[in-house]
Amino acid sequence: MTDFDDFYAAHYADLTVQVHAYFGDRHEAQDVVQEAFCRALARWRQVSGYDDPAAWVRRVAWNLATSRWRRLRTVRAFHSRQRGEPVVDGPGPEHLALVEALATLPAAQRRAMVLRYLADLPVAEIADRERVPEGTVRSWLHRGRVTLAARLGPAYTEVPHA
Amino acid sequence: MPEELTEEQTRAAFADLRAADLTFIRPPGSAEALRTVRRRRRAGVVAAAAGAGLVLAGSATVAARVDPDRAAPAAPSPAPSALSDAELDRLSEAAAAALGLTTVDNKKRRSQGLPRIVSSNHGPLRGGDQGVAGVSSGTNQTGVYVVEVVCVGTGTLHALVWAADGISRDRPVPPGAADVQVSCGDRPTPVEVTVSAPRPKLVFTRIEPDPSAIGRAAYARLTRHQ
Repeated sequence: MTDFDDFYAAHYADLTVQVHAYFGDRHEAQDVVQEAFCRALARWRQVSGYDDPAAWVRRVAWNLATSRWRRLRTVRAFHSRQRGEPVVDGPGPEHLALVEALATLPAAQRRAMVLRYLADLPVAEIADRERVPEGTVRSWLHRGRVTLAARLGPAYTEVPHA
Repeated sequence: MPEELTEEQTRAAFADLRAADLTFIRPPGSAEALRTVRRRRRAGVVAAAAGAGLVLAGSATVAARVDPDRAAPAAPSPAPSALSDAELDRLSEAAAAALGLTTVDNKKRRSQGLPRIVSSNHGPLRGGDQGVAGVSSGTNQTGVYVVEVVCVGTGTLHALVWAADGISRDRPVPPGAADVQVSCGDRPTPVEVTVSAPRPKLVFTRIEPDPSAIGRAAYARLTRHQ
């Protein structure tokens, strides 16, 4: 089981950051990534034989998060109708401007940005995963960077200190 | 403002996000995943046994046979003198309050001439190190940060502080890292460490409790502009 322990230690945090960046909720991200690791452990003999077990866990976590998000959206809509008032999330413990800016991107662009700049996947691999030409991914990334530049303001576009 | 973030700026922004996020992420642990899987398997076996019409005693026997946990030594429990979760949570809140983290309003701090708090965390000292937090700020022109650490309860902890490249996946503590001992107490004085981390470097902190503090104290940490 040591190799699973090592695998978990090496990937849990980074996968959580990726899911958080895409879905915008850190607690949900932690939950779904943990659940994805549980599912990997339940079939570890099989998953550990894959070329990239972390990609398998990421895909499972991503799918779980998508399902939860849809369910949550339905529940919130229901509550909103019942109460006749909007259900507003309370402020988080910290403000992450980039996550908020990412949330304004269309899903495909957001996915591409997260996979490229957090998961560090090459454009070709993202294209393969999304089943689109590489040029489409490059276009998504370009449009994503344009939107982020507009949303994030000068703090992110300043020249880094030497 | 440029119309598009450059590749370098985009990478720096995501590196900042990753570093800030790591401050807050507490992995439940692979041991917890193992417990979850075993619990599910046990539940599955019991359900299957019940479905087959076995008596309860029979299903319990089946469950016991497939559960390697039962034969394994029990997980170490906290020392008798360790505090309850509720007490540790209370210490954790006290530690946060000692650093003024109950509510962080940087706009208000700015109007009061106080330095911006970039990130913070707090929690009970449960064992091992408390994870590595890396953070920087796009608004800090000087690149000089102050890390404040406080410990409420009994025992001591070590706060390790250093500056390093934020892109690095592995974060070993470098030999030159500041290593300060923080004594825990009922009304402790925060310990401050100043570190220079001009962008793109990040400020990393690691909290390591001594055995005497595990289960008996809580810490709070903040990183702010100088």
